[in-house]
Amino acid sequence: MLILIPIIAMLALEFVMPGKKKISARFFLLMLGGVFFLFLLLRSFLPASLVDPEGEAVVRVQSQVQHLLKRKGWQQHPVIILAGSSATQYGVNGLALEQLLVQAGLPVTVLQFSLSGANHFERLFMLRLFLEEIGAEHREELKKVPALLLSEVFDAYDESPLYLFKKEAYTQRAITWFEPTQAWASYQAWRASGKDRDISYWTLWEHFLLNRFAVGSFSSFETPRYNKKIEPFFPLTGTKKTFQYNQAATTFREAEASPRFQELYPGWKSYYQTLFQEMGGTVTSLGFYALPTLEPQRRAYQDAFAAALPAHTTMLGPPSKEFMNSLLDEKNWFDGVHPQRQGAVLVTRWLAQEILEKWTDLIETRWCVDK
Amino acid sequence: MLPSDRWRHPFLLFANFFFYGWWDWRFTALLAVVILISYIAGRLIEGASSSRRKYFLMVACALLLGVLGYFKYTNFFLGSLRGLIEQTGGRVAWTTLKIILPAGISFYIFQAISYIVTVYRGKLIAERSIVKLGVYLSFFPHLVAGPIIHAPTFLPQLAKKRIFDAASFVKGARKFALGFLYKAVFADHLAAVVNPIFSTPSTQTPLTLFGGCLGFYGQIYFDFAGYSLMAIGVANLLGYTLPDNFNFPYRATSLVDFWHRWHISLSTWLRDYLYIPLGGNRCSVSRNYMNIIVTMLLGGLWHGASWNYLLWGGVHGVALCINHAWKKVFQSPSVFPKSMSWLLTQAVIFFCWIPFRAATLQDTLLIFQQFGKGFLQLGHLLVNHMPLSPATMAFPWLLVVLPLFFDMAFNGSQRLRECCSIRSTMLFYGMIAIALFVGLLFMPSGTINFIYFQF
Repeated sequence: MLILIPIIAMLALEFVMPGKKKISARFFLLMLGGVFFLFLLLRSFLPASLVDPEGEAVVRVQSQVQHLLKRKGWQQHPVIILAGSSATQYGVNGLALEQLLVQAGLPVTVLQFSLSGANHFERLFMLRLFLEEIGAEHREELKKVPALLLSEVFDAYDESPLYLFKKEAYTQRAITWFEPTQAWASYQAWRASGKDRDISYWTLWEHFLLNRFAVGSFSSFETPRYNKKIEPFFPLTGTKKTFQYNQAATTFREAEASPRFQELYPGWKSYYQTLFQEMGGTVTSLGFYALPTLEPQRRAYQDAFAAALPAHTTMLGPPSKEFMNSLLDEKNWFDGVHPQRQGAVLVTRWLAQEILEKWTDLIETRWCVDK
Repeated sequence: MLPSDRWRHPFLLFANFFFYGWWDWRFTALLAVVILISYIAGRLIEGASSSRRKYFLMVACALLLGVLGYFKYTNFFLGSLRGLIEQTGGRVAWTTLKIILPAGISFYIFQAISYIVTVYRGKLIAERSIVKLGVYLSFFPHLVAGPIIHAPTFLPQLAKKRIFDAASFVKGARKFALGFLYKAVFADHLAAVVNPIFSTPSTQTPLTLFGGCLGFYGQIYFDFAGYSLMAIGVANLLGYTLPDNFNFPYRATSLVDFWHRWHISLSTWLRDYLYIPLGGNRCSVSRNYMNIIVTMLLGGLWHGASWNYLLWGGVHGVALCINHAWKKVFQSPSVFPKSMSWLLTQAVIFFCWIPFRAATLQDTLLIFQQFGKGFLQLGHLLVNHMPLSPATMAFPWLLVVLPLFFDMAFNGSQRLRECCSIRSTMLFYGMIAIALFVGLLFMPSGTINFIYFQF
């Protein structure tokens, strides 16, 4: 019945008429400006989880907050935070990963902040919102346990900080994460990268305004459902229509036989710098992970990324040739980047193994831009 | 806003061209050509002898209609001709041309014709300043989707010295806020419901199709009336007055009444520059009906080059003739209850919107076929006391019905507005500001074009 609110506003515009007092444009503009200012003031105190409680990123954060807080005694075990995009969302089952690690004698809580198409800044938004949502008390508790933040390495997001932004522009999702801090960081990164020149300054500015004025927050006309739960892992089934597995596998094998060199994209460090500054006070370590892919240029980038990291920085993956060969089955792949359900099981096991093998390094080292 | 009247018009002209060029700068040249043709024609007509005046008028109108015809109707006629030849077994080598339809071309060409004909009729002195004429023809608030402003309504406003009117300014803001709610909240939400239904009519159930058609019945009103209100509001903010384009058309109890309330600027234009020159009603009854049908057919074609629009115009034309004949036969208004007149009128309007919105004639026929099936199914459900399917119940009926009902029944009632209105200047200011914010909060994200941009 939220539809009644704009209807009442519409009726009020017809039924409220000027009184005896003389109309003053100056006074009207002052009042309009005052209402604008009040709204912006109020908005600045409202977190995204209140303004857009059903937003995709917000819902994922909420579900991870619930997962953490419902887990008894989480304060006594390490916490692993995965920040990734579709490769993580479709390829890693956070709950299964948690169980595998527990079974292997490493009791941990795995929090999965993965969202298809989430660029660095949307991931940053999710992490920032997570810290807000768990509250000061739990934030302090989180600081006391070994907390590992693992960031997914995917070339497209490093190459273009606003990768897929044009496709998602003006959607509720793009508006939700465009909060002032993210807007500023993404603007700087976008300007420095020299990529996506077809996105204009005005588009970015518009999204910032759309976010600040909470445009479309009630556009569903339904009462917002708070604490709506959505699983962070979505297994894919079948093969993408445009994906030719045999061709992809052949290309992959040929590339593995003669690996090519891939340069890191300029400005790739800036996001991790921001991430480090934002999260450094809360998490113990910041590491990286590179998930299996059949696409040679992405795999080459993962190798380049691993090679460019300082010696004491921990990175899970890129997967070995042997493991990649074991994944070469059509039933494992949805496309060249995303595994199907069966492939996701294998990828999750591989990631668990990697964590177990590199656990000491993960706990004791942290990525630092100065190194 | 500007310190002197001297620079106001050049500034406005520049702003108009900038606005138009933002969409596609190449077509600013076309706009300039239309202004130039109108200016030269106006001056030549005014200065010429009576026999040559008509010649200049015809040449100018032919040029303007030629421009409109080329951009809007070339492909329609080529395609139709091709279809006709191929159906008779012939073969043609040509294909349709790649022509981009310039935004708002139908609107500014009609305004240009309005200006030239008014000068020809001697009701307006030809404008001496090409800048002022340019401002009139390209005035940005109504440039791309109307209302179509008749020259005698607007040009005299440009000659007056501008004095800031606070009441007009604030009332302009009110109109803008109302138009914004209409478009951004109601029309765009309805578009989200309607568009998928009309893009795949063959997969829809009859009741969903009915809901989609009902949604479009509301959407086109909120969309176009919303644009018109915003255009009028912006013009008011700049100190200009544009006439109303809508007057609660779904309250109409006859089709004649409807056309006095719907897209008033177009129906007035068609009356003044087409229906009356054709002979209007000062001729035989049969000729009068022919004039109505021709006017409505051309009115339909004005909306777009397609058989659907022709069908829409044609049915409206025939229905208007029936309406006139009915009025002649039954002089007394009490013969038919008002509620029944309203229902019948709205049913005609509702069914006419189907070809207007459907993508093709085939889709139109399909929808009517589905309606036929639907009536049979509904009868079956009612006879057997069976419940409606959950998918039907999930259709956003409230969104489709409530805004339109409240707007027509409450806002549209002069009597209610007079007896129940609240008079408070402060509250008036506050409501405008709040309505703007309500619009922002409830508008769907994404961009949905105004329906009338395509015309």
